[in-house]
Amino acid sequence: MVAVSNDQRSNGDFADRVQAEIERDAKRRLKEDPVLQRLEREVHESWVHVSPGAVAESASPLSLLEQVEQVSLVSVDAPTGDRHLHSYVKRTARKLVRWYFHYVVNQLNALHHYQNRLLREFNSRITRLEIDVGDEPVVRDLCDPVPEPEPALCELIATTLKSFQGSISVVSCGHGSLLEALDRPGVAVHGVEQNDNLVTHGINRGLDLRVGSPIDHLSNFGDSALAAVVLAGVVEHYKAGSLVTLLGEALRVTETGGVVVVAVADPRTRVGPCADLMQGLGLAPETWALLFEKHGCSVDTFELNGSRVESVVVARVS
Amino acid sequence: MKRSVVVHQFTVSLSGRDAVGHHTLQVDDILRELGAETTLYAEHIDPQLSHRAQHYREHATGPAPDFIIYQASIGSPVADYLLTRAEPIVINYHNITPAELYYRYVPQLGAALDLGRRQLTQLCRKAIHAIADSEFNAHELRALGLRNVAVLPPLVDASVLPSNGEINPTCGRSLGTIPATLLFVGRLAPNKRQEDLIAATAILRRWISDIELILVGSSSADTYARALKEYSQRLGVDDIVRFEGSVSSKQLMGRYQSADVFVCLSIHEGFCMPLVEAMAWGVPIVALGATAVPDTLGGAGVLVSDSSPTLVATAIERVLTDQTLRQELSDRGLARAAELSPGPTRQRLRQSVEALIAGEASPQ
Repeated sequence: MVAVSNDQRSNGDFADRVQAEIERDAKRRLKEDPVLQRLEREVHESWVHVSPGAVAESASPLSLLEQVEQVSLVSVDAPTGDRHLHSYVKRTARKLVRWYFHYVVNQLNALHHYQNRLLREFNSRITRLEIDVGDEPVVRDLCDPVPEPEPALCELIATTLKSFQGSISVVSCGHGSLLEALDRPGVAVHGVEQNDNLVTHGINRGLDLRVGSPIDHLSNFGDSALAAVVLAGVVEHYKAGSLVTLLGEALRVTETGGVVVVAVADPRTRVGPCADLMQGLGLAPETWALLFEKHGCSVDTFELNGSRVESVVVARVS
Repeated sequence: MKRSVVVHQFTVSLSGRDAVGHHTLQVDDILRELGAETTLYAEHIDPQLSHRAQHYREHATGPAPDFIIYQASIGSPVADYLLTRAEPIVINYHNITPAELYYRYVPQLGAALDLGRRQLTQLCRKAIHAIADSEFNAHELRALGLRNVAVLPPLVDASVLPSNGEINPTCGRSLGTIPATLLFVGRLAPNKRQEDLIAATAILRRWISDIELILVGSSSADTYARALKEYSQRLGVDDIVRFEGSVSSKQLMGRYQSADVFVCLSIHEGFCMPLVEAMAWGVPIVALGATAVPDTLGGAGVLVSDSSPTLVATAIERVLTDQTLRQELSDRGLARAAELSPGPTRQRLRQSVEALIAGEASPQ
C-alpha cells in the first residue's frame, strides 16, 4: 500500500480547488450560451453517426456486413459464457435477418415493378400497332368467337329477304350458314369475313365468300349496287364510330327499296368477362332503329326469343 | 554451496517498445542481478528479443522453477498453461481492459479480454503473491480474493525521458506565437476515448482558434481509428487533428517537448505510463479522473469529472491561458515524475523481488 505523503495531500487540495473552479466555469458557459448547448448535442450525434456501434440506427448494410464479418472472426475457442458476447452476436444476427428480409422484399418489389413496366410498354406497343394498321384494338379475341347464326335467325332473315332479287351481301358471314339460307334462284348472295379460316371452310362448300374488312368490302361497290345488305356478327365488336361508318356504307350501296338487315346481339345482355372487355362495343336494337330512322329509312324490328341474337332490325331504304 | 533460485517469468507478448514488455525485461534484469537463474517465456516474441526469451510451449521440457512470475494483461493460452503447473505463481498485474469496450469494434479482442478476466480469477486462487501497477489494480485483485498484493508502479522507459534536467520549454511561453499544441500519447483504442479529445478540440477552437491536437499511437482497432478520422472530418477539425501513429523514442521526446498541454480522457487505465512521461517533461496535464489516473497523477494535474466537451475544453483553455496554473502544474508534475522515475521505482521493485526470492512472500 502506498502511503499518502503531505505533499500528495497538498497536491490533492490544489487539484480539487482547480477542478471545482473549472467545473463552475464550464457550467456557466453552457447555461449562458445556447449555441454551446447545441454544439454539444451535435458533437455527440456526430459520434453516434460515425461510430460502428451506431450501425443499427443508421442501418447501413455495408457497416452491418463489416460487423457480421467481425463476428465471424470470433474464434470458436473463445469463451462463450459471457453475456456481452452473447448479446453482441444476437443483436448482430437480428440485424442481419432484418436486413436480409428487407433486401429480399426490395428485390421482389423491384422485379414486380419492372415486370409491370414491361407489360405496360408491351400493351402500348400492341395498341399502337393495331392503330397503325387501321384496326380496332382487339379485345374480342379474349371472348368466345361469334357463333354461326342459329337456324331460327337464318330462317327469319331468309323470310324477310325472300321477295328481293339481285345482289345480297352478307357482312361478317362466318363460314356461310346464312348464305346457304338465302341462296335461291334469281339471287346472287356473297359474303365477306375477316377470319380467313372460316372463309376457307365456306368456300370448300361452294359458297361465294371473300376475305376482308367489312367497310373496305362495301366501299368497293358503287351507290345502290346491292339489293340488300345483311350485317351480322361484326356489329357486336365495333365501336359506335366505326358502326356509323359501316351503316353509312351499307345505306350507300343499297338501292332504293332495298333493305339493310342487322342481326343484333344486345350488348346490355352480356355477362361475365365479356361485359367488361366489350364495354362500348356494339349497339342496342333501339339505337340501330334510331340511326336508320335518322337516315330516312322505315324500320321494323323482329324479336327472336331464346336466341343469342335477340333482335333483327330491318331498315328499308327510301 | 547454496543453490541459486530458479525463476521463470511468463508474458503474453514480449516487445521492447511495449510498456509491459519493457517492465518484463527490467524484472528479468533484476532477477539476474540478484543471482537468480531466470528464463523468460512468451507466446509472441519480438524477433529482436528472440535471444532473451523462449516460446512458452518449450517450458514443459525444462527443469521446474522455484516459482513463476506471470505478467497479466490479456487472455492467453499462456495463462491456461500456468494453471496446469504446480509451482507457486506470482502475478504482476497490469490490468485488463473491460471487454465490452472492444466488442463494438474488435469482437475477437473483446473475447480475448474476457478470457483474460476469467483466467485472472482462476490465477488469483492459485497465486501466492501479486504485484499491482497501481492501487486501482490492487483493488481489483483483492476483490478476487488475493490478499497478498503489493503496489509497485511499472518501470518507465528511460529512453523517452528528459536527461540532465531538460524539460518542456513551452511551459513558460505565451500563446499566439505558434499553435497551442494538445498532446495525447496512447494506442487508438476505445478505452482511451480519443473521440472525446477530438470533440473537446472542436469546442475549444471557438475560443482559441490557433490550436492543434496531436494523437500519437498506433491503432489497436482499425474500425475505431477509421471512425475517429471520419469524426474529425464531420466536426470540421481534420485540419488541426493529427494522427501520427507509432513514432520513435526520439520523435516522441520531440512531441513532449513541443506540447502545451497533455490531455488524457481515458476511461480505463491500469496505470497510464504516458502521464508519467508528460510529467517528466514538465507538460501540464488535464485528465479524466477515472480508474488509475488520479493515483498516477498524485494531484499533479487538472482532473475533470466527466468528458463533456465543454468541460474539457474549459479545463484546457484554463491551463493554456493561466500562466500561474501552468507553472504550478509543471512543477508538481516534475515532482511526481521524480517519485515515479526509473531509479526509485527500480529500487522498490528490486526489494520486492528480493523478498520473493528470499521466500518472504509466503502462500496465503
